[in-house]
Amino acid sequence: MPTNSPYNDLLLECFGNPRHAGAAGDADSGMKFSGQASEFPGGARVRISCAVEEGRLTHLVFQAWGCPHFLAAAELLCRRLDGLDVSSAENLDLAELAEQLAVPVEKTVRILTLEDAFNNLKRALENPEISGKSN
Amino acid sequence: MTEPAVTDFIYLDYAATTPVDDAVVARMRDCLALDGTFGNPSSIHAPGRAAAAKVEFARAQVGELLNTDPANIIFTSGATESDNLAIIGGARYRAHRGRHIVTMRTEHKAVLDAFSALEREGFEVTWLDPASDGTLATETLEAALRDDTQLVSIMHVNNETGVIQDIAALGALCRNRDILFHVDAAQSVGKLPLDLARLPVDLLSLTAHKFYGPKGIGALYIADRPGCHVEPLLWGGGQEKRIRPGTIPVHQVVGLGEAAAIAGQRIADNWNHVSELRQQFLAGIEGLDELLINGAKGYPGILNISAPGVEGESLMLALAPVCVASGSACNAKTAEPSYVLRALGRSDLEAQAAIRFSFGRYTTARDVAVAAERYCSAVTALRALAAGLD
Repeated sequence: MPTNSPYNDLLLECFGNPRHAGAAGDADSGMKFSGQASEFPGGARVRISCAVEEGRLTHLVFQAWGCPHFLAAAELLCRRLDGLDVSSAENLDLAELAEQLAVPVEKTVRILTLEDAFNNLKRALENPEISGKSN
Repeated sequence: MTEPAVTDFIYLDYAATTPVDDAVVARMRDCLALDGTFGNPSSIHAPGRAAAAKVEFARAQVGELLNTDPANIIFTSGATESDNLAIIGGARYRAHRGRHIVTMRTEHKAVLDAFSALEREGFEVTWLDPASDGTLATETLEAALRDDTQLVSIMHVNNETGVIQDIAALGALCRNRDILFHVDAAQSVGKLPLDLARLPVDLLSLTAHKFYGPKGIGALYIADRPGCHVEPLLWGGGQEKRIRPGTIPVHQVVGLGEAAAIAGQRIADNWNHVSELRQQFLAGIEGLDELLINGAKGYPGILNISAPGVEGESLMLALAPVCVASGSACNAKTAEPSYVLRALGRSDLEAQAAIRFSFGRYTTARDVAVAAERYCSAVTALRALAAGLD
């Protein structure tokens, strides 16, 4: 059926049920890692946090400010990462994730921002001494 | 091919458009088929004369709503065309006297773009800024007027904020200087009393779909006074005094006339109804902190609120199934913050976090209760999601 809605079903589901929304908890759930990025001062911004338990990513949470595509992408990324072993997380493709959410081309920069945060998270996982963050 | 179904929703976007009144639909339907008044009103045979009679009846209905001679009403395709005809046609008609024209930065795009077009033709435009509450002081307009000023265009009710301009005072300044005064009244006709026999207005634009008439039909009022005229923008037949040629769409015109008649009977009731809904909504969201109401209190049927800390598009989606606007419907698909709110001094982020709620004839107290509850929960959730981010 033709539709001019800018949001597909997956986006609506992720946006409407962001079960990974929230701030990183206290240290009782294990060691915390986070990656953060922002599009520009005042623009879309996101922080992804997680723990690692027995080599797997757990307790994925995100905080974000941005459009529905951006928030849904952050939620979907957390869903994909949750329970993944650390080495497999390296291979996660955010372009594929953007395609699944039908992110319009004019919002590509938002996905790149999310990718920056994800890369910073991976950096933090590789080197627990740093807290991944970029603008 | 199947059209997407429109299912349950709460419509709070009456400033964008209104559903057509059932009585209007019935009158329009009578003008379409073989057993109805389908003739071309320019034809001299019986069906044509019957159609012409309906057109003139509708013209009288619009004239009655505005308290003016029906002969001063020219039918157009809507407010955008009326604005263009008034501004471009009026400025060109007066160009031999002077080429300075004046408007506000918070006007509808139909006005702003018409002024920009004239600017490219060599007219000099003064763009006035409103006060922080959205109003235009008479002193501000007076300071902008010059000996060569020929046309001023100021909207009556702002489509984004509901702010009402004092067109009586602003128009008097223009009338005293023999300057054409145009009013875009798309948001006020049928909602506020308009007495054109008394108001110093030379040109006034309206459109039917803002007051429960059909889309695609509007009118331009042209005062009957010396020096008040417009040059046509279209050329063809001699319809509408040769000012707006083209076969008159009888069913549309009849719909406009009937909608005008109904609206005229309900102006006070409508004002009271939307005022009560506005108060109910404001009471329902009073638990939220740091909300900004954009614009001075004006037409109560339009309520524009910014929720700092919230992203506008996400707020719109989170409000579903409540249908609202993030700005004027004409620019809702762009990500640019509203130029109207920016002109009121709002920051990009404040403007971007704005939602326009507009109430109307069919809005119920239950609709408003649901909308207020949704708004509170959406703002709270989105603010919490972004809390603590740099």
